[in-house]
Amino acid sequence: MDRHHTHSSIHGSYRSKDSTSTTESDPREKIKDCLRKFIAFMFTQVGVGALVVCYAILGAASFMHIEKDSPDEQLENVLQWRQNCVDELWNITNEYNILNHTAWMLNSNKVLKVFQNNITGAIHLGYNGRASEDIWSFPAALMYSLSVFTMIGYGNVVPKTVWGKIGTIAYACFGIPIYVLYFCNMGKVLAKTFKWLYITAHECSRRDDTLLEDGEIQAIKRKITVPSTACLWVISFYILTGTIMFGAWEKWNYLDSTYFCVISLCKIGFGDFVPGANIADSAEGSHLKLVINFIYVLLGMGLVAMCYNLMCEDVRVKVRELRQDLKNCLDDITLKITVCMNDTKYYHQKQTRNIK
Amino acid sequence: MVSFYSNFCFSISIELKSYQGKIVKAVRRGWDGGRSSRQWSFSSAFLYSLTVITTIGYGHLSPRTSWGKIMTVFYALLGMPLFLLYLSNVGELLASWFKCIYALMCLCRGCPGFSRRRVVHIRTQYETSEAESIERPREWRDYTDSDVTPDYRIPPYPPDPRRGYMRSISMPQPCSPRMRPEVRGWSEPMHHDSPALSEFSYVTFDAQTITVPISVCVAIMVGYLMFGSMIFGLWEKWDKLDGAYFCFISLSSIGFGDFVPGERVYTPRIETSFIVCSLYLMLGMALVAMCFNLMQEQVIHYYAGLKRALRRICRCKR
Repeated sequence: MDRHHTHSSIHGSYRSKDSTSTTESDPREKIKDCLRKFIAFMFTQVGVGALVVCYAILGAASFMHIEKDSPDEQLENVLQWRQNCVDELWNITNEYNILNHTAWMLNSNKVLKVFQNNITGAIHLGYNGRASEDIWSFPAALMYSLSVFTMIGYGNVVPKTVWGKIGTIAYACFGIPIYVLYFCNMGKVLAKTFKWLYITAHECSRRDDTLLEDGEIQAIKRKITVPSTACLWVISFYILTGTIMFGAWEKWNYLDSTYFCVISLCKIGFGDFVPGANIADSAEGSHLKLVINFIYVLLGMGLVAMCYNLMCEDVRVKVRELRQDLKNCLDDITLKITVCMNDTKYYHQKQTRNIK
Repeated sequence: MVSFYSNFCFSISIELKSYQGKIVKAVRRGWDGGRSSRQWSFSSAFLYSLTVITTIGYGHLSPRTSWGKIMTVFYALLGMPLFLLYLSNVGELLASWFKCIYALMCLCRGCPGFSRRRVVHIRTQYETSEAESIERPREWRDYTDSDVTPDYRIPPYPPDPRRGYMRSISMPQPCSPRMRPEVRGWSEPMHHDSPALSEFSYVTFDAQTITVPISVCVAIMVGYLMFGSMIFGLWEKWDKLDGAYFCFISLSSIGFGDFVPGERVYTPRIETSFIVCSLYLMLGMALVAMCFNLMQEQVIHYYAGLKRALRRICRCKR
């Protein structure tokens, strides 16, 4: 009985009733297994990936809810300025009419300049010609929450309300650790997979040449590390895919879309190029693009983590080899020097002996 | 005349609307509208390159020429590992310094009057926590039974590789090698600690193995955030929340770029404001790295304690 209690208390299982049933060992073992499997699953890449996606969706929904019906004062200001501008233009027209063309031009230019300055000021304060309902669509909010917890921070969509800002801070506090967990996990799993693939390919290609020396192959196989060039190839291939894809959709030139991909995958995220954000009119298309960008960035981060893992290993091996080589080299040199010294000594002795 | 006025208004506002759309597009493309914060002076370029290598990426400035873009890509690829190196090194160094300062100031190990009481208090704490560990090696228990004190061979904490380094920082060496075993053994009985022991030996010991509580780390980070929000609020006329938001977004390397120093209010000292911002960022990143370093240690410590406690529970009840 005592053992029951301890068991349920240790593992914190809710179903302690089950464990007190007549068949002693089976349900307990089952629960144990279930719990163990659940925890193990949560720490695999599937569980963590699902956690990340769920977290992003949760964040998107809440940010959308918070930000959607925020009154945008800039929008009202812009309307007001436009009205003022029209009125002033009317006054000028009334005054000069068409008779004095140059004076009319001068005055209306002045009015328009004021209007333009007002608008640029408003843009710097965050006005972008769209109401907050249009900006905070669901995919855009998804992209926003992704850019928060991956620390990219595009900045094309930003919270304007007080609660939005506080929510962003709290969201980042919890989201970044989850993302880091995802990054590490994904990196490890992908690295293992890629290494396995590489080794299999390597073996297949090598088998024909050195079929005879079986023992040596075994020895070589254990030492194989994926070279960093292979990682670089994978990453550049991924970037190339992104370049072509975004270039075709957004009608950027190839330099711009390469730039966008690198800036995104490096987590810099200037936000001067964001897919689906530049074109305001095609709403449906941009939504799809945002979702695909979401998947592209998440996968790309995993790939970057993989390459980081593999390259670390490779560099470590290389450094060890280099150190070994250096040591050998130094040993060689010292040996040679001593031999040389001995030789010269011997030679000198011989010489002196000869002289004598 | 009235109908003429309404007609005029209608057509003019359509014109103005398209004009406004053009302005929005132009600003999006990178036209600065005569703002000084979006021009390439030396200090703003400095801030720009810092945002590239720290992966903050405000985006208030972004390269427009194709060579600028290519250079940015390569600059980022080279600079990011460099910055990571800086972070790890400086973080570790700051953490070790902070530990010393914490040991000396906050726990009052430096001042002679308090130290004895403190040490006694902490010693009893460690004794209880140490008593929980069942997993003692056999020879350890034998030694304690035989009332010799060689338990320094099994230090209560995993040996720290930086230990030697730490001692060299915290200056006062234990006076003699003879004393060290007595100082190291935490779980020895009270009467062993003779009044002849100098305070210095305690100081060195604490600075090596002390773990700074997580709450202090969090308090430091929050304090740094508040400090930044105060400074930037004063300079840029942001309110407190906006300042804190800016600091958080910057230090967590998200960097939306909706708040950038020198953006809203035109000031002649915009150059200095950029420089101050870059300094704040460099220092802040290092501080965050330090806090993570300390917190990691503390979490590992907690984890070990939890493991020990769990093991003890299992052992006892079964």
